[in-house]
Amino acid sequence: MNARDLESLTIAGLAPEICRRKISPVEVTRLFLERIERVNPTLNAYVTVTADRALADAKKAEDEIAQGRYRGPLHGMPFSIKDNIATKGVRTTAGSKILADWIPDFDATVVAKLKEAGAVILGKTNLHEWALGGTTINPFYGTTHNSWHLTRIAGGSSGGSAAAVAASLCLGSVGTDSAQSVRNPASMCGIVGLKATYGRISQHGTVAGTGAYSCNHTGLMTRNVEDAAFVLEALAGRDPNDPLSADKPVAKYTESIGKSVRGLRVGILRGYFEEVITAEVRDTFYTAMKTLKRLGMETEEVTTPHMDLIPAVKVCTSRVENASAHDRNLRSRSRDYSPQTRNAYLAALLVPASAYLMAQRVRRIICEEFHELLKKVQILALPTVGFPVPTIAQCEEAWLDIDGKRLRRQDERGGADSLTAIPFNVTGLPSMSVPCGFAKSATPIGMQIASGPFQEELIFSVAHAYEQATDWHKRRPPIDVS
Amino acid sequence: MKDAVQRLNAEYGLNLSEEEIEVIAKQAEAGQRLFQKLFAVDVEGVAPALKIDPAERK
Repeated sequence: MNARDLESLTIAGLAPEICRRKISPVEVTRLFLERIERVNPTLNAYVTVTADRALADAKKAEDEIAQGRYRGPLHGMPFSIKDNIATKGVRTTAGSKILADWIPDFDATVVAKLKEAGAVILGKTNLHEWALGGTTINPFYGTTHNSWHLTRIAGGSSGGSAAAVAASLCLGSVGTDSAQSVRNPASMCGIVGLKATYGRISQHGTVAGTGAYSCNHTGLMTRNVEDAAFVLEALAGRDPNDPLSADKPVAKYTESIGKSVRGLRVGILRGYFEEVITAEVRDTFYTAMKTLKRLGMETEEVTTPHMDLIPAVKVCTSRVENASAHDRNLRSRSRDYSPQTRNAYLAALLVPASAYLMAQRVRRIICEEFHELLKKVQILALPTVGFPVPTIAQCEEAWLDIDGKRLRRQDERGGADSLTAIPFNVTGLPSMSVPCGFAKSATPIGMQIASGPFQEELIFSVAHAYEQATDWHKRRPPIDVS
Repeated sequence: MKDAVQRLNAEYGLNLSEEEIEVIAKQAEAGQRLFQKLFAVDVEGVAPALKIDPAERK
């Protein structure tokens, strides 16, 4: 096996080889570390590489497997972790200057679960400062580049994680998603990103202030849908350390792979976000809908009565919850934030309590409306991001001129790139981004497949059926590993 | 809103410049305008969603 071979690897493909001892976890880990050394200086996906620990863990995995103690499909698999998720003994910055030297003395529950499953953690990945934004242009740790087109962003806030998976610098990554932060970079990098139902995966160990507590989700990124099912099986479940985690049985998600999707009703979600969807993305998305129809699903356009209030609810909720976590640092270290981030938190401190409570009342109405909608359809679908991947230079300007359309990159409703994703942060419903095409700029386009609460199995079935009917997930970015 | 930012500036010891105060005040005002729409909704009898349980039904 060599560095190029890594590009075709998946968890589903590699696991049986490792289990049968045809491939050694140490060999796999070494190859990934070599590739990181060659490629990361260009992409800036990792902010910390834990090579020695990774090799030690790979050796441990190899020894255990040799002794007949195979733990399951993640045993010996190379993973990365977004740098706002605590890793014992490894610096965890949250993309911030304030936590530049923080070394946690505990593992986040998801990290502990990955280790328990035998995964090998290669390092920590870059993110938007405090996970507050969708570009991963980070003033302290540099910009993460899109491996499909180096002058373009990798998305965010989990941009490093998505870039690492797309560029074959790991086989899976764990991120967080408070407004889009797993699905958006997954879409922009051409991989699978899943934000499961709120509470499905523990948030214990996610750095406070890197996502509003009631909107944030721990999520995962992989090359394909089946791999995502393996990872969710390992990560899902009630956590006594997270009072917001759900006490629901964890399904065998891999059993959803290959199940019939014939007769399922798909609601194409319509609403306020259409203003940021370009013709190119719309056409690509509707082509994907035709594929779902060919697979035997029925599609219809749907919406909810208070759909247009989702941005107000989301922004109000996130601002207040996020700012409360930053109060102490704003008082003592306000100059250690970038001006944009600091200003956003300070403005949030001025939101009246009455507005926050009103947002939560309207939020309940919106959640009920989605529950009603999901009695009519089992699946919801819409583009993950409304426009093709912008350039880094475009993101540094106030306006995005994309596909001939002039869009404000950021307004009072948040980033233009988040508007399609936030319905599922407000409602807590599960949503997966899967690759569904390419733009004229040769960068990936993704679509979201969402469903009812704790119905990730349906999402896996539909996403896998779609994936099998297309070849988008097989394409790899042009990476120079010489 | 500028007054509120100035109070925050003093209370938190931020040493913000006039320009920074202006920017933050404008941002806060834009937020307030967005949130005003929420107050137009009839929420009679609707309790706030203080803990999100996606599986919750009325």
